[in-house]
Amino acid sequence: MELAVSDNDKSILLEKKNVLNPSVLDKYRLAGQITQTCLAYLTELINDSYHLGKHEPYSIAELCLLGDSHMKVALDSAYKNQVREKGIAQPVTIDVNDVVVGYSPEVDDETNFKFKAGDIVTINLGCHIDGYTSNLSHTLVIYPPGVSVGPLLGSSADAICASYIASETVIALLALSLTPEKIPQSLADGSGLIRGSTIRQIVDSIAESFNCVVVPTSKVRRIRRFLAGQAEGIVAERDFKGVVWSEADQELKLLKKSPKYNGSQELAKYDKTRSARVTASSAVPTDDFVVSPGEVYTVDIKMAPLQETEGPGLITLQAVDNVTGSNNSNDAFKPRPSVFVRDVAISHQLKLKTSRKLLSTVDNKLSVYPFKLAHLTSGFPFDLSGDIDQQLRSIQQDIKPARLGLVELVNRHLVVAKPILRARFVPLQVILNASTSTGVNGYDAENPVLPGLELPLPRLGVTSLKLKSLLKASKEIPVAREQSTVVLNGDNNELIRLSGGLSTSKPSWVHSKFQLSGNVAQSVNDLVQLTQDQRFGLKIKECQPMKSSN
Amino acid sequence: MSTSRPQYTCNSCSLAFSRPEDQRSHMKTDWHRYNLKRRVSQLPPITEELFNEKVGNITITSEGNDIREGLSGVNAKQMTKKEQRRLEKEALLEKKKQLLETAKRRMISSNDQVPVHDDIKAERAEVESLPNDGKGKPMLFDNTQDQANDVYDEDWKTEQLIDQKIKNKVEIPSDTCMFCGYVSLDLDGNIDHMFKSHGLYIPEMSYLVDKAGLISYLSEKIGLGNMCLSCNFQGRNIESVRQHMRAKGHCKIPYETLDEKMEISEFYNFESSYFRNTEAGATDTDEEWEDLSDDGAGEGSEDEVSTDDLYTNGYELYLPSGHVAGHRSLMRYYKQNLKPDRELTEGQGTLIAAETRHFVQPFDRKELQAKKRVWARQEKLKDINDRRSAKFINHQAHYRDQLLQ
Repeated sequence: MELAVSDNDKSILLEKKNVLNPSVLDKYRLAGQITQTCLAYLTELINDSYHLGKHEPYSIAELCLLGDSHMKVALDSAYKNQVREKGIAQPVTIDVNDVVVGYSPEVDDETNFKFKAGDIVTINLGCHIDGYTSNLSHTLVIYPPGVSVGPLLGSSADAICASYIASETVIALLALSLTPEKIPQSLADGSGLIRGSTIRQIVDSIAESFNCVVVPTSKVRRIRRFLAGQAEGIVAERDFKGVVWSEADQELKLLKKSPKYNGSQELAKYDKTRSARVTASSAVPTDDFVVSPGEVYTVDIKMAPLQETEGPGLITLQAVDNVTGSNNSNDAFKPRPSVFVRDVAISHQLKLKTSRKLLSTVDNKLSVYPFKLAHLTSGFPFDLSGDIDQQLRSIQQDIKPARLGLVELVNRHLVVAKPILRARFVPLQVILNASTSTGVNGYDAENPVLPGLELPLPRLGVTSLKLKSLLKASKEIPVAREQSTVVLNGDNNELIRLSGGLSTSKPSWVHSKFQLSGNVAQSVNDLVQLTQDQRFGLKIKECQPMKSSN
Repeated sequence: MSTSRPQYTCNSCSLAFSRPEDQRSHMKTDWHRYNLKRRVSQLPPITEELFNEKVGNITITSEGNDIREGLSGVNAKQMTKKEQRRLEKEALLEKKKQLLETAKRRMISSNDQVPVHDDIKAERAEVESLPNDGKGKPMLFDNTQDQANDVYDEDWKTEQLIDQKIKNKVEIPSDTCMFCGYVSLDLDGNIDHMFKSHGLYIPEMSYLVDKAGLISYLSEKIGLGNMCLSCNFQGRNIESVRQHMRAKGHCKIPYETLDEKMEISEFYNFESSYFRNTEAGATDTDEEWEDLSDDGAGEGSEDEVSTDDLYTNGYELYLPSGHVAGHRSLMRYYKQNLKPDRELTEGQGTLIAAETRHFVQPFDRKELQAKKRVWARQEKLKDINDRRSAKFINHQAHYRDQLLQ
């Protein structure tokens, strides 16, 4: 590798800068506040236009740009001349129904659309100040216009319930790690520690009781300064700590359900570190970790309901773009990738002047977080009180030259397009009938995943490329997602919830026909009681959105 | 028989003897040996008188050698021609060294403010005197001779030579071509003629202040010194040197090395080229030039113009405009087109620090070469093995009839 950082710098950047001191906490808190404010702003826009009919509804592209602008304006006024790097850590993406992540169309994208009643809409955004990042996702329901029509019913409602309850439960679990003496009887395993496996187990049980599946790429992970999961699959970061759900977990569960499996048999062992192409095994995610105070976590739970599916099957993800499969599929949803992230380890002498200019802008003006081309135009951020249509049009013009340069950057792997992923249900029958003639060594380089997870179905020996080809026989499935960032402040044993929470991410009015049952119901009830008990329970503080200035 | 034809002869010397004793005694003489040697080298024999004369001559020269050798006591006969030549050469070298030393001593003793070109001229005169001295008395150089006496001797000889030169001097006027004697209208016409017909190019024309002086100096060099302008050829007279210069194309003023530049520097004034240094007096400048010639610094010409806003650190010259001129010896480094070092921001640094991906290793030429050598050796061994085993393909220990199988 050409670039290298000295050991001294390495320990400063990876360890010392991540120690939670008051100034770091302030930065986290402010980042959290900005994300909360932005979510509140977007929710208000959607409610006003779609539910209350106060103005003409905005399309997704417009909402995304407005959200970005709102965040950017707030960031510009924060920590002026005090920090070198601050900005949008996750451009606003609005994922509707089966879209899981990454849909943030530019204004001129052909797929750009407006919501329909009954859609479940996930708003996903994030910002960072000096690398201290706060990410946030929340799923809303679009109701028919008018007031008080009733709750959302059906499979989407199950997913929303499951994701909300799971994320709140995980946050309570993380808070418990600060005060291990308060671990309730239903959760105690005698060690007094909150482990990755504890988190996985409780999330899986919640999903099961709501007849849902935890969608691959869901994760509860520790984040660090500048390492907030924005480059997952690109940077194989050392000392990865977190629970990551993948297709392999669903596969394991399905195999265990098989009538031929008698419980004592040992399933084929699979060593994740073997397939991972990394220099340190700590980059491969495992559940074998302990949550400890002083860390910052992102809880990102995505749930997909199995209500409308038949028979056993897997929930997997399909990357969509404007090129792939354009010849033999009549799928109309062909969005152009619009969110890109710089791969800083790669350097290349570029040919086009526009691409060199774009690269230097990305390297100097933006940080290491994902960006959209619109962020680089002169008209950004918007004057939110001015003529928005006019500004949108000018941005559309400004994007064109940058897009030319971007092609070379992408071709040279200097920047990587963040994939737009859709959730797909593939029946197990289809998978079992397929054979992977190429063996299990192939992997999909186009859609990078975390190291060690290159092979989606290791026990069945199905590669990601094979699985991709099986998606023709798949069925789309809605996904609900809740993401929030929490700081485990060990100094006064409190959990600071940077994003999400009741102040902004109040769950929509839904009604699921399922409810928690059995052991998990007891655990979740205990946890809820602890969070609500002001005196003896868990101390959880939420970042409130800023008072609106206009 | 014995009377008519003597029985005892010497074929080498074409002699006959009546008695065998005579013959034997003859055979023992040097004369006979000499003739024998001559016979071997297919030369006719010589008579006894001639031989004796020759022997007499050699004895005289060998005696002379003995005298010259003095106390050394080395056998004169042992000295070969080669050794003689070497000795002569050494003596000549010694003499040259002495001459140079005396010249140096004289320079030190004389006033420091002697103009440079005078010095050069004097030195040249001494150098000119060298070959003549060598001709005058080729080997008679005595180490024991008194130094002062020697200096005096040298001076006297130089005087003599200069006198002779002055006697032979041909005055070339400024409007006459120094190479062919063509008479032009004036000095400029003459310069024009010399440029067009002989290709005499006068360097740095714009800084030349004493044109007539330069031409008269060059003319004197040819007319008085009979010296070629561009090589160290010295003609016997003005015609020979003119012919040499025309034939060899030496009608040019050499202007490459510092010495060559210094030779004609008194006719030039470069002050106008040091844009800010004009306030320095003329005498100062002269002294600076003097210093420069003493130092003999080749490229350090920036040092002289050391004002506040124009300075150098030896490799870079800082101009008042703010530009920095690099030294040409470092040109290869300035010329290279390197990518500037990438300055990582904290975010990029963090990502690089946390990175554990495998990257393609840079291509290592040495490693590949070593590998190639191993492969080549393996191939060769395989080939040898194949050839060896091919010999035994049809080898059967015992004959087996195919039909009987």
